[in-house]
Amino acid sequence: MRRYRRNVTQPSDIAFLLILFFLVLTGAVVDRALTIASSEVTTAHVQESPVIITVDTAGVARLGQSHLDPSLRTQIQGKAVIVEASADTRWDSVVAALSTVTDYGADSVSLSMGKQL
Amino acid sequence: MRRRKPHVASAMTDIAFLLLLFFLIFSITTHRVPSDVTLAASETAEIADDHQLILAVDADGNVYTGDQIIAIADIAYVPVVSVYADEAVPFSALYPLLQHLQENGVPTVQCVVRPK
Repeated sequence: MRRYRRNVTQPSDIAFLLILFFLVLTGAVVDRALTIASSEVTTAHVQESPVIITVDTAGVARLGQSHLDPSLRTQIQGKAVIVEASADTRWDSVVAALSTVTDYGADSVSLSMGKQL
Repeated sequence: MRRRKPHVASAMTDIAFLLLLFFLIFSITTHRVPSDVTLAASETAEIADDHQLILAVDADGNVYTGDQIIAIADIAYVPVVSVYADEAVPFSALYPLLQHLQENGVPTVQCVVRPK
């Protein structure tokens, strides 16, 4: 009677492929975050003349009376920025403002809650 | 006649499956954030540092650690706190948490976002 060799390599091959899959998966799924300076969350006067960006309830970000756009990049670059959002501002609008000032090269970004804007 | 050594492939398979289980459990248990939290999108976010404490804030302003709601006052000090806040949460609901972290001397708060 002819004996067949047990094929034991196949399950281990599959297992190692799955291991590779999960290794890549756990390495590839990285979180992305915007870092804010916690120590300045409430203290607007700590930095020397920080740039204050206000975000109103509609989510519109302004520097003074001007809308936040690339023409303001030079005023933000290398500066300490405080993003002052009103109480009813949605978080995604705040994140959009944080994201923009980070993109414009702000040195540090902190958060503050302003009056109803 | 010499006896043949037993095949060691089955032991390799055991190791492989143990490793597989490890990575399965690892990928399931990491980043346990409430599923109803939709992160805000950002183009400029950088890769987050290692999470020392993960806090999730849902659209109603409830603060979670893992699956449990936690009172802001009960949040202990860690140097790096990662905040997974829902995009729809009003800033007034998130601000007390940020204030508490500041009062506790937490130097770095990572606002976790999803890449745009």
